[in-house]
Amino acid sequence: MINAAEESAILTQLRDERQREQGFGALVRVYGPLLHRHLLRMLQSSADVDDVLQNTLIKVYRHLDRFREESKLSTWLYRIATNEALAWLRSQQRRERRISSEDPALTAGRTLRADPFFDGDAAQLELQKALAALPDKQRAVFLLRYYDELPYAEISQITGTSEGALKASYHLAVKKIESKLKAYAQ
Amino acid sequence: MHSKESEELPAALRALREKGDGFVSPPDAYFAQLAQETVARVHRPAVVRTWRSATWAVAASLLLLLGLWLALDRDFRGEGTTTPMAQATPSSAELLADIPPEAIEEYIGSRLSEFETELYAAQPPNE
Repeated sequence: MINAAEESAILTQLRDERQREQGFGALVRVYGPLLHRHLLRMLQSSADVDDVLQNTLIKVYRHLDRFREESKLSTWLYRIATNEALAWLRSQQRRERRISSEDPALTAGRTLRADPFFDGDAAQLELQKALAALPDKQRAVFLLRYYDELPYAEISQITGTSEGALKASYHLAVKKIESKLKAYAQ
Repeated sequence: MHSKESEELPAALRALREKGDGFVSPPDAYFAQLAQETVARVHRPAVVRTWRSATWAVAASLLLLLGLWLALDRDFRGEGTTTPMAQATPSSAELLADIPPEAIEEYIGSRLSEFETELYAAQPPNE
């Protein structure tokens, strides 16, 4: 968990032109693992995460002056990373639709088994396959709530969706995943 | 997560959350290098258009415009062998008639937010 004092120290460095690079290094060191894990869960491919995380960080660096401290720094970072991941998935799906009609769950299963950053067992892999079958934005909502345990108010700031819609989306996702896991267990 | 919501999670999902997601994190060195590479990319100078490359681009554009103008002029005066453009181009209705309805549906579907569509499908707004 990142505390307020650490966030404040990073922001102070980022605001100072002479310390900006040092502050950015601290930002990546502190928040990088959080964003990397969020993107791994979203994209289910460490090779894609390398690209999307760098795109995210470039946007963060270029738009540091737009962060007005109206939300937590982590919320702002999650928002940029989530938008980058959703845009990446949209372009990837457009490309793949032209060349393959394979079930996304099967693709995710195959990709993850070969991914050096996935070390899960059979049940964890089944959950990842069930997640791959969710619409991208619903998957983002589910992941932020289920794994990161973020409050709906914060997920609302990240996704730009109302809290009511988020709750409905999360519960629908739980039902879908539950039925997929039940089918796997039988 | 709210304890009530956590309790309502199906047992399989609760157990899987306890186990973690199965992913591993890269070492600290990865993030240090990533920060350096990002800063280097941000500071990389933008591509500068030289006067010479701009001249070639302008020359190519002018040549293209001249060719287009000559071709259109020939058609307008009836010297060309091709049919007039208005007759040769099929209407949008004719073009759409050749596309199967499933493909149109898929195209429209891909433009809608899957998330919102699903929500409305599960709970129509007037219910």
